[in-house]
Amino acid sequence: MKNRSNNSASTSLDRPGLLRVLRGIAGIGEVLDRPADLFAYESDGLTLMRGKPLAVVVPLDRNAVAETVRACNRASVPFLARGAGTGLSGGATPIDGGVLIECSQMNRILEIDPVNRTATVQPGLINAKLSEAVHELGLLYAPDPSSQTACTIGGNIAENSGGPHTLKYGTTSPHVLALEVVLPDGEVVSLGRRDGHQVGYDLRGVFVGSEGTLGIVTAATVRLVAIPKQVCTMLVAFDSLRAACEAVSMVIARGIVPAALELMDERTIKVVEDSVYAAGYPRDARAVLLVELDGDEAEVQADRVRIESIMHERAAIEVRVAKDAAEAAAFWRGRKGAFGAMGRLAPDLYVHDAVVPRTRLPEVVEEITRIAEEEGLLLANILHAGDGNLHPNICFDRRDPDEMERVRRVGDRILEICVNAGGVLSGEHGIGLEKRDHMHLMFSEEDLDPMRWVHDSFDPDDRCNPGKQIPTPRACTESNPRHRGYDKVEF
Amino acid sequence: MLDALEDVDGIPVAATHRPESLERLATLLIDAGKSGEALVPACGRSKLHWGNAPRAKQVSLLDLAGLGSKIDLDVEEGIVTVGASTPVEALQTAAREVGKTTWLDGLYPHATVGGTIATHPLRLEAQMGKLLRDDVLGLEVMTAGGTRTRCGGRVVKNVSGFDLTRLYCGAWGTLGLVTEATLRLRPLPDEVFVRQEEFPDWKAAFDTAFGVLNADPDGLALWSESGAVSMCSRYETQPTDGGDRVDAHAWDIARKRMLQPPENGAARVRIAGRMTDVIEIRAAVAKLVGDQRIVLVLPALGAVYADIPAETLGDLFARADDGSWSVFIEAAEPGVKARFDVFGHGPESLRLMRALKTRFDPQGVLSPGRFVGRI
Repeated sequence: MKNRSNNSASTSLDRPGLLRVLRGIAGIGEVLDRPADLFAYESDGLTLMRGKPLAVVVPLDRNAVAETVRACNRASVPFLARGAGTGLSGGATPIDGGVLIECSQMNRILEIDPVNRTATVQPGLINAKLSEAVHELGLLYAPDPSSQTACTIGGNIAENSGGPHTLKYGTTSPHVLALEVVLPDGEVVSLGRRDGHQVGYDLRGVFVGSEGTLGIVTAATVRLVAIPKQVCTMLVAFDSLRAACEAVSMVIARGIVPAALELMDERTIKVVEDSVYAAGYPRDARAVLLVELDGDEAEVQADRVRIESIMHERAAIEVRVAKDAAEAAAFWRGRKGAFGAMGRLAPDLYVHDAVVPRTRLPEVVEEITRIAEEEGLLLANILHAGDGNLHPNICFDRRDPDEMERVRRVGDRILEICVNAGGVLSGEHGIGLEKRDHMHLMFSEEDLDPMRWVHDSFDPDDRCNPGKQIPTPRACTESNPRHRGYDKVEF
Repeated sequence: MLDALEDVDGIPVAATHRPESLERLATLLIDAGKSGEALVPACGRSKLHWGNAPRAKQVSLLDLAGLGSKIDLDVEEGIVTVGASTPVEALQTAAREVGKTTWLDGLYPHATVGGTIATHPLRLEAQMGKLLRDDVLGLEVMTAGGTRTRCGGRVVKNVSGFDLTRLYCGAWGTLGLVTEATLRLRPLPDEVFVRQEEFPDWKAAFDTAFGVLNADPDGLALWSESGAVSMCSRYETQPTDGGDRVDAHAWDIARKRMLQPPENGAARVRIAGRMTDVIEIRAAVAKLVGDQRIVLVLPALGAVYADIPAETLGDLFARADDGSWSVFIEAAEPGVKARFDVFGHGPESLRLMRALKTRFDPQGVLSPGRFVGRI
């Protein structure tokens, strides 16, 4: 282990003193503490929840991150890391009075190893930039969140992000081989190995998806995959969402593993077609399914024939195979632009995220839609259907307090419905602040204890992004960081 | 029930517990915590000889076979929930009947689902991007304190809380006992294609092997025999790069080499690095002990298996001292285990690992001393 402590570690700091120390750290690009500068950092992509940090620090290298963490410890001030702030569960919502470590300037690709198909990158690298950088080598970085042109690799690691192609390639975790992290006490340590051969406990595995509560990533070695030799993108229209979901289940049951199986409901289709993202989706369809196959030519063609057969068997009203890359891109433009297009429906959007067993999708979506209608809310569904991952999107106006209350009520009900159907709270956005207090829907206190043991092994002082992800034991709520004022939120 | 065992790596077995229920298992764990009894979980015993010797004067075996088998296949969801003491072969047979398979390796006779998850061995039919831990969706785990817990779920995508499934996979049962697992089902390939080739030397074999890797084989093994180097590649979809194909059973030659026990007191060792490192690892091992002691070279996994005489192990560890390779002694005589940590040099995060063990198993009940750093 490196840099575990320095001589000044035992000297305590008051908050003005902390700001002076932070400004004196070599490798810090900026230290922001004026209210106007901090405003932009008050939330991540979940704008429903906000916090006011003491300061925002912009480190340029690993040592600056480590020194910042040590300084925060001396001042007994909590801290957290942030990438691009595109997260949707409040994982990067600032802690009131804490220090936010903004990693977006640590954005270099440190090494590309085309033969072993790995890349080592800094955490602030934008996801899509990595695939762009290795494209000429015939490689790509598989995890592809919808926000991949803005979100960072470090943020993806914190959230274990997924995306449309998770169905075949998995979420971020299997693509992360090794991490260099600054632990909550300021020590710099490596987790995992760049060759993927774990020695000892898989600390890399438990760190990915820990939402910045176990430390801060300063470098990551990730796996690259070969660009598929052939890609086939299909648009399939149905006259009911149920028929589309049943087709998805049949594809999986028959042993086909497409790269993506993305589903949009009627409201999503219409709002996309009314927007600049119009993709030529049939307006009379009640559901549109995008199917993408990739691999060797023979494999893709064989699966395409099987998929077409299944779709007709499930009464698809249209099956359109993209004739070229431009048409495939158009199909995807609508899907990837759908969240933006929903801005046409209301000023605010609450992008929900949960997972249910694939076979339960039709009934769950119908129930969620019915509840939203009963509450008078506009709801549009986008589903990573192949994974059972649904995104019910609630369109609302935050200026209307009554509507806000209904949004919250429906959000809670969505989670209850999904968990009761055998599902889980999140497929790719994480728990953060948004769902921390819903963890009891899915886990007993006994189930949560091992998570707390992990947390306490890494961060016994509870300074690293406290109050996120893991709820405090019910018997100990008086010690919950939330009640210490770290994460005052407005909902 | 398997035969009684006298010792585990030279440490006497004082008793064998065979709980018939989870409640009884919980009671055993609680009692062990009070009495200081060291428990070594075992079921199929296929890998009981793996790991460091227990750090105890005597141990009790915890035979989990009494918990019974359970296989709950859900083909539409593409998952299976299975009892930890279920034999891997029984699971794979049941999965095959519905056209599916799992990433559990049935290489080792009598291996069980729980033991395989706990030890997380490399699968020969894999590349590094296809590891078992990526297909473990959920676990039921009995803690060292005798509490029944769950992590993960029964869906294929899940980021709800810390990913404890990955922590328990490969933890050798030192953090808790896996009692049930939910795994992803994979399509059973319609056909398996195997190609076998011979080369006059290792350079020619590696030149071809690294070209073969671009065709993404589902297994690639090399070994030396009678002066020539054999290469066997396995594909679950028809390879596009041509070449002769032979019977799929040709791959069994590679598997059988893994099952042959080391001779003359040698230790079975896995030396691993990046894919490209296998060239250098192979050369280093050959220089130390000769090609004939190399069991398999697995370029897709970046691993070399070799049988290393005890007196040479120190040189091998010294060669890997810079941490660029990892060395794992899979099987060895107790005398060897007394001299070496079979996991090689502990990682720099060993302090965290020790902290985890202390939190998860404060009484040191579960396989004390058997894991990395003699945790």
